[in-house]
Amino acid sequence: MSITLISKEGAQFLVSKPVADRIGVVRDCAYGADFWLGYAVATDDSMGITLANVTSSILSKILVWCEHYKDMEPLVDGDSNMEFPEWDMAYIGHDMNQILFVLEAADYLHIPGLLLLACKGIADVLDGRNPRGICDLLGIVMDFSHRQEVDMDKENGYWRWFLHPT
Amino acid sequence: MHTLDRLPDDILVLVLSALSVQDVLALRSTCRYLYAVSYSPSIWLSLLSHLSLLPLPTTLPSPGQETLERLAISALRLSANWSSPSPVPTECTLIKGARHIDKLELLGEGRWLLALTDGERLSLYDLGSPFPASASSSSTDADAADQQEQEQEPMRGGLSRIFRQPKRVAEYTRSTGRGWHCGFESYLEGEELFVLLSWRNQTDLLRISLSPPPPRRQSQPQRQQFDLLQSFERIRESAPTPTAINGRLLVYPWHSGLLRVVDYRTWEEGSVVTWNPSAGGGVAEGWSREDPLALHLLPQHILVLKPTSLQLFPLPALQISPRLPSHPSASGIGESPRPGPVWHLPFRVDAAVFSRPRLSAKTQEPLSLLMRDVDSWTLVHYRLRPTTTTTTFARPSTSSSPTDTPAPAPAPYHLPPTLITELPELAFAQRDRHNTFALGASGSRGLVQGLSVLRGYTAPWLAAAERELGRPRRRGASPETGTESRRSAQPTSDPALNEILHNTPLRIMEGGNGLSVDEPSGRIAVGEADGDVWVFGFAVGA
Repeated sequence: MSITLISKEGAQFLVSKPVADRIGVVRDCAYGADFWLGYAVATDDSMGITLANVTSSILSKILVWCEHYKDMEPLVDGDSNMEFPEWDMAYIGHDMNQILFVLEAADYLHIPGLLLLACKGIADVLDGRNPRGICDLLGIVMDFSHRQEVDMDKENGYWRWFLHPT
Repeated sequence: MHTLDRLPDDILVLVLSALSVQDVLALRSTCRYLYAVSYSPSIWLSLLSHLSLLPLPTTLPSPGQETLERLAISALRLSANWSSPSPVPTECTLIKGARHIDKLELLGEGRWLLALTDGERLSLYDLGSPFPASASSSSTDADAADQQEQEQEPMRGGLSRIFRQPKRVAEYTRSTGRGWHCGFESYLEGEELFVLLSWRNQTDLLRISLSPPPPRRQSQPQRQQFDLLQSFERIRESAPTPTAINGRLLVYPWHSGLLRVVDYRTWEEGSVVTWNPSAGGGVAEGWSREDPLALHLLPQHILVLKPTSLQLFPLPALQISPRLPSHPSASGIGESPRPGPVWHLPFRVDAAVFSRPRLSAKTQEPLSLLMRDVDSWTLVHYRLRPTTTTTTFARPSTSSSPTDTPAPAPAPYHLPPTLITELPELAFAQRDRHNTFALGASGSRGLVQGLSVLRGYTAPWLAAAERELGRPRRRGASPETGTESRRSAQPTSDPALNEILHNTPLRIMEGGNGLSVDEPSGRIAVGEADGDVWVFGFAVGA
């Protein structure tokens, strides 16, 4: 049995049930109705589920993750002390832009494991950068007033001294 | 451009929760939106849970974001500071006015200091909360908690942040002359503090309430009082004698290897027969009989450390006037407790200290034991694993059924204990009796004082956790422009004893007597030979 997913651009992706099960929205859409109607809505291949907020490139990337985890249980909950497997870290990569798209899509599609992985990926990219570096990396415009910026520097310096006395 | 600050805040909270504390602080000063989001309490709650390997206080003063943030930062700061080659104290308190120190103890997450000085005076000092509710900027810091002090002490903000004025809350002086070999044991339960004070000739049981002082209207400070609950006959003539106290019971050594157990709420008594090696065999040279070196009172058991053995006994059923066994070895009398497990030490011990695991409803902390091996002159750290993770700390229901012998409670700890470390570096502490130890509540941090040095001890599991926290998570990435090299200088050596008083005025100490350490606040109390008490804090001071 397989399910057709339709991306924002209209591209169709044919996925098997265990893969689609990883996507919370699809699972609810396809099988949740089973309980109420007595039959599943999307069991027919010709019917697709439209995911209007996800582009084709991101959806294909997410499906790679779902394919990988179709038999295993992903790390869903846990503290960040827990190490992700090598495959996960290689999958999420260091491209901030892409991680952010994956993050948003994972939130939209209800994939908690991928959401956690994306957070971890962002954490790894941002790790050890100073505010200026983060702004350059992400293109954030510092919208503080001059006064606020001075205060911020003071506060930040205060904490930095406390965390790293040397 | 798709950037982080366009994300909805619920996802952003998730993202920030996965970051490290340093990165959240860096992210905070990028733009207004992230600044606002970074103050969300749930972020700091989860950041704190990542730091759960560090010893954190069990009770938070107020569970607001400011407190959580300050707690996380001070825990990180403490772990970076404590095991660094030259720790920098962030606060300092000096208490003068005594000639010599008998014992010091920090209580209540480092808030209170109990000091026994000159063999006659017991004083309780309020050192100020190590985790003030007000936080970051200096303006909020000044106006919240220390306002009254600021008025009294017109010092500059920076200095008063570091140098603190101790407040003496209460004092208890013995009227019948000076006593030698005195000591005390204390037990803090909520706001009530019980102190078992042993002089040479008598023993006093004191109680004081540590409730926050009422708002002062008059200028004259309100002094609290120790209530004398009971005085006993002398416990032992030669001391220091280990005693133990908890919220209900007090235990002290009696004659011929017996331990006396007294319920000081009902004045029921009982006794525990401890195990003694038969004459000649096993007794170390110089010890006529094995006196307990340290006692640790558990809810239903007692741990007794003798020079060559560690013994765990269930507490006996208490009665108003117990019929004591005529011979300590005679068992079978209803009064004598069942023998507990006895673990024979592979060496001889002459000084030891137990950690004080905090009792929480959910989990039972392991108990640590720091001992000095006399023969090889090493410092040995053992840890006792709890038998169950969930233990109900019910009071022993001894008085409910005096005729029935209650079912023995399961032993709370596994014997034999696990060897954690053996540090052969005790050579700096000469074979001298001025060699004191202190161990924090969970046994992660300790202090060893030699003749003229004070060294901090970090347990291996804590050192490993610190290394884990300080390790850069990004692997194989080339250093970029925005990256700071602050994580390179991390302590990577094995847990050892490192000098702790490098950056303090207290460089050379003659062997003082008091020593105490509190883990979550990173405060240490050191007594000098000339009677001064120094309290240093190594976490964030207010």
